[in-house]
Amino acid sequence: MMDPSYYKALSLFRLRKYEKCIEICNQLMNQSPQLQGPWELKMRAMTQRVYVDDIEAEDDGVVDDPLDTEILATAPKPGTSLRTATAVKTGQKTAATRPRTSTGRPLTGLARPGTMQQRAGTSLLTGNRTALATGRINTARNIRLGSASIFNLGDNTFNMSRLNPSIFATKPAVAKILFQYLYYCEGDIKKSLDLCNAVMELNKTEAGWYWYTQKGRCLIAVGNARSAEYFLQYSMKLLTHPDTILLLTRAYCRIDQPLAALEVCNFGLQKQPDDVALLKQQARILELIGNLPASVNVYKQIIKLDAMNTEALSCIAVNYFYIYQPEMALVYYRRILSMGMNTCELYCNIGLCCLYGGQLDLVFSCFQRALRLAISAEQKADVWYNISFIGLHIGDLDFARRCLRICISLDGGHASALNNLGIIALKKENLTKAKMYFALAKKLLPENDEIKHNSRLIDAKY
Amino acid sequence: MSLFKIIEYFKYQCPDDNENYDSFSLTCARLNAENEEQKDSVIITSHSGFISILQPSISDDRDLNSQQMAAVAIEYHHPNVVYETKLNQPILSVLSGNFVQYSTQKQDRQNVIAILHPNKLVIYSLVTSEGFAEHGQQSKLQILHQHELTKSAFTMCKGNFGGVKGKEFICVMFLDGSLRFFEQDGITQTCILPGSRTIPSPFVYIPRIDCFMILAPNWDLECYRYLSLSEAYERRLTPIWSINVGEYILDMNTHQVSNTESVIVLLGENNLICISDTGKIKFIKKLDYTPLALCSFTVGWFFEPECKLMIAVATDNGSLLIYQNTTLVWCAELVDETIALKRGNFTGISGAIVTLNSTGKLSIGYLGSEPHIFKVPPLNLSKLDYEKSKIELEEMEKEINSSVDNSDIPYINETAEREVEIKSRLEFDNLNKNAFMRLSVKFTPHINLEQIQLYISPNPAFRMSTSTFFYNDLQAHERHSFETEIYLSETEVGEIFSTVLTIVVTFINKQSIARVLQHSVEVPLQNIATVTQPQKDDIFKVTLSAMPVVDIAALFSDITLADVGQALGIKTLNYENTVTIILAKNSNRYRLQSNSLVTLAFMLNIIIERLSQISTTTDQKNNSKSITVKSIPASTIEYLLSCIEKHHSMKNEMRTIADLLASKTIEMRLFERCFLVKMQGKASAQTMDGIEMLLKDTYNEILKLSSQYKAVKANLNKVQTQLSQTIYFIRKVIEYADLPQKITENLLCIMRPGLMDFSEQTCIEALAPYVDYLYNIYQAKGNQNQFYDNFSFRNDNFSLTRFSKQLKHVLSILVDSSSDDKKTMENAFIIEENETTMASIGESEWSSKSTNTLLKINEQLGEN
Repeated sequence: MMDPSYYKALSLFRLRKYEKCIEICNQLMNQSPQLQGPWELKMRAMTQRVYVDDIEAEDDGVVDDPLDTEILATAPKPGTSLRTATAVKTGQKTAATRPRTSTGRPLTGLARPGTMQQRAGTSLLTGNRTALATGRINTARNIRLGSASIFNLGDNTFNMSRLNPSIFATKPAVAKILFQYLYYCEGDIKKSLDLCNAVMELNKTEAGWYWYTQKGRCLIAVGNARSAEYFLQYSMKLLTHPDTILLLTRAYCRIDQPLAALEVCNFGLQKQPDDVALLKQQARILELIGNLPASVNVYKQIIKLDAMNTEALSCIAVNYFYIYQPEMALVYYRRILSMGMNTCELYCNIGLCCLYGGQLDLVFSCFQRALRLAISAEQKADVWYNISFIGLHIGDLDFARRCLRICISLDGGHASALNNLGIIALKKENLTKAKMYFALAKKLLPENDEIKHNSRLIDAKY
Repeated sequence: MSLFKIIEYFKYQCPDDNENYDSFSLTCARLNAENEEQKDSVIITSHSGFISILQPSISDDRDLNSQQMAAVAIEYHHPNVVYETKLNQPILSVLSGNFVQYSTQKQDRQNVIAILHPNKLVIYSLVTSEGFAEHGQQSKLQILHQHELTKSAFTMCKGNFGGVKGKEFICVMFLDGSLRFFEQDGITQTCILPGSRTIPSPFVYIPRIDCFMILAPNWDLECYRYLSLSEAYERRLTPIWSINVGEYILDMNTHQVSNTESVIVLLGENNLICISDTGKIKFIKKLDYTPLALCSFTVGWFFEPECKLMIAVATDNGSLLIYQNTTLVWCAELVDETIALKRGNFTGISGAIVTLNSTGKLSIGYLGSEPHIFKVPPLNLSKLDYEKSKIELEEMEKEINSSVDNSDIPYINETAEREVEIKSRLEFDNLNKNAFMRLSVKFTPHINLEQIQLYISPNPAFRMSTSTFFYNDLQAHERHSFETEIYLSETEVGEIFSTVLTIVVTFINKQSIARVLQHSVEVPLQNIATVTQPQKDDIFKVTLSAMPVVDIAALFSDITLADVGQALGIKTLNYENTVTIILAKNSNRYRLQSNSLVTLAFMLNIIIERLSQISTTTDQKNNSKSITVKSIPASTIEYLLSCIEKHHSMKNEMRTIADLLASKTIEMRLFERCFLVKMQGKASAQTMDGIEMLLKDTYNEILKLSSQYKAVKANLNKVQTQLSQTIYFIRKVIEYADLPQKITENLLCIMRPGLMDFSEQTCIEALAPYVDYLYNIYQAKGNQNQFYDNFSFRNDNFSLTRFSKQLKHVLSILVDSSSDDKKTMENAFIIEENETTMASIGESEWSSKSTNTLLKINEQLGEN
């Protein structure tokens, strides 16, 4: 006879109230430790509590690994590789004026939860005109990235260190639950890969698309994207799940074959026309290879299908902003605002659009709101950095300098702010200071063209 | 987040306002078929046993516009509550349908209510009797049937199982995943599905193919025939088809969309999945939000060609998204967070959206087509008074300007000293084994501090048991103290050269302003040195002349006990290096000699200090230097040069090893890569052998080189310390040598202790241009123009022999007493007096790359 509180736990699980569900499961497990149900349910709840769609996360792009034997071409043609993306300038002036991220990609309109190295000592925003990050929208689950370890403190119900994958592979009812727990909650990719292998060995070809996709997922995570491709392709033959397609595009991006990734997207779109998730991936890849006009077209297509898509709206807005049409960008940002988004980044972007569009009366109130909504030090730093542009715009260098100083005080690694401080110092003919600022900015963001140019200039001149 | 908002026109709070509801707690159905208008009733049940039956309606006044309508509806409409009670058992699920066979014609059309308790299934009928008075009708629930369950139930579903016309049966799923069917004539059958099913999920019955759709624990959606399920004797149950959906299913619905097809709509944790009843995926839509509840319906009948499948999903951030197949057709903001979503037909509105939140608030609304644009919350900022702001800004500017003024630093330091009071004491008694002394420090902050760190800065001669102390969150006037044991160092470089221990105090106050203080403790000489026999013929010698000559006994009154004559030997405790001090009273000279340069420097320092103390107390008016170092033997300079040479050669050796190491590592990486390629190519064992050998060899070489590198580095460290010590000594000599101010400054610039080697340039190499410059000035012998015309900085490589020669020449001023040379040297330095002083530039630019800087200085000089 099952305890009725197990029913309550199930009900809470279905309502996605995982904390309470885990509590009840703990009680049940204390009362009768041999019961299978609470044990499994707790594992599920713990997984779901920290679940982050790893496909949604920002791609960290091609990694140069000397031991990687899988790179095809070391000098690819322009437009076929993510490495040469910066070199593509097929008649478009947009890519040239758009600021780039620390890895040299054109900046995107929406900050997705990235791999943590994205903020390696600096902010995403750079350039003489600032970039616009609309912050994290979509769902709250994106923000949970990397929080598993925080939640996990002090809960050692499942001791995974002595887990034998081959035992669990024989239990189909538990294997998938366990896999998800290992992958998402424990973050132990090696173990989850072992489990995949054990299941596939046991079932040979009968393992089903699920395990092929998961194996691909694990292989991508351990950096073996080339082998992942095989499993994902095989899984796609069994069942075209959007996760599989998205993982396959990611695998192709990892081995620097963005065109193959786009092809996979197209294949998926044939099977399922107008799928927003696939279109979005397509747009992101186009953005990565620097084909901004095509990317914006795809985003426009997305908006026609899903007028609520904030990512598409903000990417289009950013594009307009950087082709010197701040008024058009403002239209899109206002649309996002009217949908009820009330975030610091959005106000900051609207403020900038107003500033460059000449609606100066609105600029300060936008930034005031942005400041009020900024919570983290990084957000505050970015807002102050952007406020400094008002100063630069109206010629009040002292004001700009002070804004930048506040920005630096909040985020010491804000390379763009340091760069701009250097320029202001140079204007005031304070050479040593300017030099120091440039040197520091260069140290933080060595790949940035503007900073490189500035420091070269000052070295050559003085 | 949406432009539109669901417009609420009816709401009701159920009696149980705790979180006792889930998606099974709500159902919309027509109960009273007698009513011609065919209104739906809403039945809400809670886990605590409450049941509410509502018949929502609003006034028929169609002229009211939407806002007025909403206003009317918001009021409580008690007549809408048909029945409300608390049953004595929790209610898990509620369904309404034609579950009972009636004899009379009239009642045949009446739907009844099936209520699932954890271990009982009860079928009620709602009996309504006309009231006599104005308060209207009276209703009550009447039990028609009840079935005791032997296991805990999970949920139930209804359907005309077996394709029976005009009747509906119930199937209950238990927590262990087994099923039980309840047919109208009292026949019940139990069925246990294969495998252990510990996490059950909702299930549906598809009338078209007479099958049940059930989610297996491995997330396979399985299709079981009703016939095979209900025939209990059939042991091995196998699904007629199954498909893996890859995630847990929150809710499931089914609809017939054409004559030949039904679809199953699944709301997964991350995807919306639609599968046809033949087991083919219709679509999988990835959701970029967290779904909570599902409601799907068809518009039009399945036999019509334009039958549309509509799917509504409620999300956890309070949005309602409505899809036609996969295309988003509408999005609106819900009134509340929704856990159950249904669609119902009510008076005045058909197809209304019925939602239930987790605390039992029911709301019925419709999609308003007027955009409900988000209103930005006001900032509530008081209006700027420009005059006032201007004054404020000016004041702030003033404050900023004053706060960054460097002239305030002494004042700031003074305040910092007042803020933290430090007292320290050295103890030599009651020590631990081997300990030399104990340092006990007491400090009292006079303001509240965030944190404080006390660090006893390293003096190679002393080792501390603990050198860093850290405190958090200190209250004002609270006393703190700590103690640390100090041991005498026994390493090769640990000779005593200073009696001072410095405590560096860093603290951060509550305003997060950091301040740094220094506090020094002097170790008494008698504790680290003892008297010994004077020695003769030591290597290093230095001669001092002093104006008032003090007796040695008076000078070292703290350690000498016996009466001493003209000579005294002093020995440090840990190395037993002896310094012999000889006083020549006639010529007012002291001579210090020792075999250890460090100890010599140490004693020289002490003597100078003591002598100057005495001289200042006796004769304050005498401004000229009363103490001068007369000369040092050339051997000291030789020693310095030999140190430099050793340092240089070691550095070179280190560089060679580092280069070799770098190239070997590259090779290693290449071999590793080859190995990997071979491994992946599944090459035969023979071809692997060669690579393996290469790998092994390279690895061993790298290991060998690394250990060599380590050894050289340790040696280099030693030499560096020796070099520093020598320079420290020479520096002391220069300070007190009888030289003009300018020369002293310049020489002090070259001789800086605390050497630092950079990877691309050693300290000696950095020094070379300065020495070169000084040497050339010296050579120019006062001929200014010729000097500036001819001199240019060398850009060629560093040459040790040239550097040694030049340095020897420059430093010879300390050794050579021949006045001629001194004269020329002095002349040489006079050139400079008119120019930017070498000294100041040398000080400020020391750390940057010297050659470049010097080139620039030269340019500046040229401009001048």
